[in-house]
Amino acid sequence: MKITTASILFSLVALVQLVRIAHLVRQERLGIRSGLVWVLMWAGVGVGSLFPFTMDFLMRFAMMENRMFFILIIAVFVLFALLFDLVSRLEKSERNMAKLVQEIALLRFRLEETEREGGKRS
Amino acid sequence: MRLAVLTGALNEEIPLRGWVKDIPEGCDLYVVDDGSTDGTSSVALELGARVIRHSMNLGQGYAFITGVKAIVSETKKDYDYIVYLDADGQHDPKEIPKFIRKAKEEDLDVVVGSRILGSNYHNAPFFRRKFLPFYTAIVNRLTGYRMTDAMSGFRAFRVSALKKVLPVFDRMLEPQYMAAEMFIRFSRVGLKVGEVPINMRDRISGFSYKGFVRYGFGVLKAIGKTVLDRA
Repeated sequence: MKITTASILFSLVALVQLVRIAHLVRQERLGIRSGLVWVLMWAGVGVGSLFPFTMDFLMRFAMMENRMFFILIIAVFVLFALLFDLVSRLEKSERNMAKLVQEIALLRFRLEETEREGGKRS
Repeated sequence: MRLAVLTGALNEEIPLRGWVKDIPEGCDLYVVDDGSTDGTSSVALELGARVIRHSMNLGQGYAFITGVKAIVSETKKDYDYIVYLDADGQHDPKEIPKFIRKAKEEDLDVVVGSRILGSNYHNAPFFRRKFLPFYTAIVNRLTGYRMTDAMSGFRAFRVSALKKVLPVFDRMLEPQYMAAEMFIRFSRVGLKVGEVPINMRDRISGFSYKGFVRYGFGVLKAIGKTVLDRA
């Protein structure tokens, strides 16, 4: 196992990020599911930089020959997965917000209708 | 027979003054103010309409759903039909009686105003003329209906049928592009749909908020999602 400055740097960054994620999850600023995704990603970076042979094993498993290309593919894949997650969350919150606006509008309308009915009777 | 006329309006204070007077006598007007920043609500109230206000702009589909829910669930009036039309003055309220006639004659749950069957369709913008038949063909294929204009905003609904499908509106996946999704879901519960020809007028003022490309993709997305969602 050959430790280089870059591998130490990458593993340190990964460690800092893992601690940060744990902190955010504990403070409930990050959900368990998202936390898990980020933990997996940074753990992968840490393990991959300290033990490059694990990367070689995965690379052979994916039938690729170039390590850089393999890393690039994984990075793009992770980015797309995160983007998809982000877009679906955004859509869900948009829908929830729309439902809320509709409910408020209907509630206000119901109140006005009740007042109108009351006004007619009195 | 009791008739409610419903419209969703975004900054349409000027157009409202132009067409509301043409609504057939005896109809109640409901305006969903979809987050307007002008005097749409006050003008609508002044014209005798009942107003439902969205605190922010959600789009025509959401406005329609809110309006239908308000009329069906929140008022004590038992309407027989609800007619929905655009607030920009492009739909002529004088054409409303023929929707009701058609619905009664053929015992239909939904009557759509077809721009393609109208006599002035050749004046329609190029993209509308090219893509409307395309989207309608997809909807027809998926629903079994034989429409010529599935995207028209001028529609009449039998209230008894709407009451049956009210939960469908809560399941809508893309209410902003609801036309196609609505017909696909209606076909699943067996609602009967027909058409009448309508003539489009020039909008009284303002501009369309629908971008052609965005709207086109939105409709396709809505169709795709609805096909995958079998609920």
